[in-house]
Amino acid sequence: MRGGLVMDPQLLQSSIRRSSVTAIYSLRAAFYTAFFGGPFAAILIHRRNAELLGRLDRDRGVHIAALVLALAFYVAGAYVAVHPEVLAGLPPELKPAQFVRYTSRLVALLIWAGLYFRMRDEYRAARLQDAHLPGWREGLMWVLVGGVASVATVMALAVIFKAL
Amino acid sequence: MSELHGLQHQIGRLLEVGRPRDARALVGKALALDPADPDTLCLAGRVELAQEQRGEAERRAHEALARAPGHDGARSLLFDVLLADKRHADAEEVVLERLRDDPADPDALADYAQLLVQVFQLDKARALVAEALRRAPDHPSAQVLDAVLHVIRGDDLAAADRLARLVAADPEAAHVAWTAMLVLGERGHHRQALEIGRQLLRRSPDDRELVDAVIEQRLASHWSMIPLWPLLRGGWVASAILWAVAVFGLILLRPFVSELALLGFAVLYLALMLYSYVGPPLLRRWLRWRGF
Amino acid sequence: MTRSRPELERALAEDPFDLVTRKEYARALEDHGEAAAALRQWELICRQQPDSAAGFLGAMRCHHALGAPEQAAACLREAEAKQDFSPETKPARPAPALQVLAGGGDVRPAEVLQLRPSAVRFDDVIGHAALKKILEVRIIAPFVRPGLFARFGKRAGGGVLLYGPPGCGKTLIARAIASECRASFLAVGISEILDMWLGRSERNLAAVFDRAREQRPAVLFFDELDALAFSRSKAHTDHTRTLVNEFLNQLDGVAHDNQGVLILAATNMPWDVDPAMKRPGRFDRQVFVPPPDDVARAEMFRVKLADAPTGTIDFMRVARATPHCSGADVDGVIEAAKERVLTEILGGGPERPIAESDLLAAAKDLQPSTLEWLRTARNLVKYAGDGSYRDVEDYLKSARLL
Repeated sequence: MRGGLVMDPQLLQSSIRRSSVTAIYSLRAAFYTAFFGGPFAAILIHRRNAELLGRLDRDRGVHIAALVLALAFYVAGAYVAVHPEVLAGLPPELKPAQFVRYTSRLVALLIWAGLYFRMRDEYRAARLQDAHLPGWREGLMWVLVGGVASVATVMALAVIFKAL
Repeated sequence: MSELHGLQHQIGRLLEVGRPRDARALVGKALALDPADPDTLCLAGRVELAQEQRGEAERRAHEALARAPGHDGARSLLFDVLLADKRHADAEEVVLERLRDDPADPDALADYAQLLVQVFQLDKARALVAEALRRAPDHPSAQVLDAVLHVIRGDDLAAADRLARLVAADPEAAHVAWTAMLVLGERGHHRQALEIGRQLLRRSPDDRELVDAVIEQRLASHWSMIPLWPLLRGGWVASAILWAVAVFGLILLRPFVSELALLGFAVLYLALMLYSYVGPPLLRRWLRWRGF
Repeated sequence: MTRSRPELERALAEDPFDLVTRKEYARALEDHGEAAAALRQWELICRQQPDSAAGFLGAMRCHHALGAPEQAAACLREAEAKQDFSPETKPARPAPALQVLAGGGDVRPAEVLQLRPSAVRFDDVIGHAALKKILEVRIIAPFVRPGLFARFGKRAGGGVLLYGPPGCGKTLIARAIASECRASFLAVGISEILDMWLGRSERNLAAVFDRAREQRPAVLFFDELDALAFSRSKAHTDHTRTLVNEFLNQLDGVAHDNQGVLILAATNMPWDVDPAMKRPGRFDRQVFVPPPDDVARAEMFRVKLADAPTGTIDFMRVARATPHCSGADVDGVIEAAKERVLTEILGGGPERPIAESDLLAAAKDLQPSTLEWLRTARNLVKYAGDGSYRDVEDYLKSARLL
């Protein structure tokens, strides 16, 4: 504001489109999607909320970082699938598959949490206004898509590691 | 004061005390005196809006604007109708017209901010509220929105500070009590929020939203929710942390702790999770049915 | 250690019921010369601690600062009645002068209201036997035999608020009370007070009270009290607040002697009435007027159908088919039954009287107008913890709505 007396003219520019949303998928829906769907599903639902809020461009960097983290995990997972001896140090009661599942969930929740903190204000505003989209169908879809994508990614990477 | 102005004054008072039906009768008289008076048309629209006749209210607003383009009361009425109808883009057009005529109008600034909060444009809403408070530091709507936006940001101290100013100015006003209930509830002071909510409910027992809010505060402050305190306070992030601690904690503790103890921890964790899932909904139903 | 204003404000936001802090805050506002803001704080303290003189003395100081000697005197009187009031705390103030309302010349009370004895007796009010007994003992007898009750320390007159769902006979009962009290009856509606001219509402109200005082013993009845004494915390403008202040001033009786004037009021929405109106000395007796019970409704049907052509009707059965219905709803059922019969006749059917089946069919289609009120009242009883609606709670329990 110039001289403290003139308002930023940008404030008086129209910014609401007919497509502007008044509700997003709840944090609860995102949590369950991430928990059951894995890292890809976690990214998908948050990305969908970002799209609804018109901030895809703004959050592109964060989504890419989350994707890199997810891929890093899947690379590690594929390597472990091809070289299970890497997990030899695990307690005998804990099977490698179990360990990978738990770690996958942990990574998914880390991504979920990171993306939540990125849009924390919006999630809180939605909660206070009770402005949530019904999400169980979409959540289920992302869980399936995320799950299939995860398995396909790990299998493709495992094939590559085997070939190497 | 002319008879028309007197009738308009009376209609306004009847609307204020929640008597739209009595006000409607006087609207007829006022329109008979001057069917084209924009103030009367606005009041007629307000009567329609009070009785949920939004289409009629919008028609009156347009009628008033046709007689007096730029009439502030008509634009304000139109904005309220569009907001109630969730036609946000149209509501924005109306409020921007008001601001183009008078960028310093704190009412219009606060209205625009309220609209933007509903469409999640929070940064712009904050800037508008700041501007409204710069123009009119004691503007009640702007002060309330300011507190709410701080709650949204998670800035509890600032929200409490804004609340303190509201309480100091008018401790008994309903909008102040609502804000207090919100801020105290978000800060985890559920008993105090409940008490304020109950006082509000004594004045407005027909407010369903308020009944729900009071039940939620009673639920949050109920003794049976004590085991769930970390989850209620920390939300889904706390749930995620608890899961990670439980699962990986159990894995790490395996070499050091007996099987029975591990089983005990696992059962405790599962019981807590199950309770967090079924406990609150059951308690909510119970409180709604039984009262408190 | 003296706390700063921001510190006090933060402490109050944390705990709005901390009286020590609020008193400190009120004194701080007084010291800063903000009498109006300080007065709001002292009034809140009076509400939260009605048995202590401190709040009333604080309010008195603020009223003096604001140039309202009548209100100040009222507060001093309240303070003196408290147990913790001591002569040392009584300030040396001049006696308040009576304040003449400005601009009263335009109001002609005789043209605003007609004073007449009421023709309705208690016997004309169907049902409400228990309620009538209560009113007899608590309100009518003290009014008719003030000497007897004075010996027992009970005063006559004062304010009584009748509340309950719409159409259940509150206005009728008020008129019957006036008859039983053998007093003149003034019925005041919102149209007689809420005047179109600024400031005249308050003058109209004062004129009404003056008229009643001139004609005592009198019963002054305010219908729709919630519109006249709307809660100031919900009001957006000062007009409503000034009318409530005038009402309180007239009720308080410091500058006005209301002895021999019974002030009745009725409202469908007691929660909208300003809480100060229900404090001691004002409408401190609140009487719930419930919907008529089965017996009363049966009698209503019998009485209202006395002049209409009817067959053999089991009125009790019809009454049981109309639970929670008000007197107005009973009228609605009867009208609907009449229409049914007339429609049949006009459609070519034989001319016949109203049968029980017509009334039962009409009752089936009717939604009692009291239900919404009862649901709202249920919220008060269930969730708001408001102990002043015990009668409502008892009724809801007996009607199995709670």
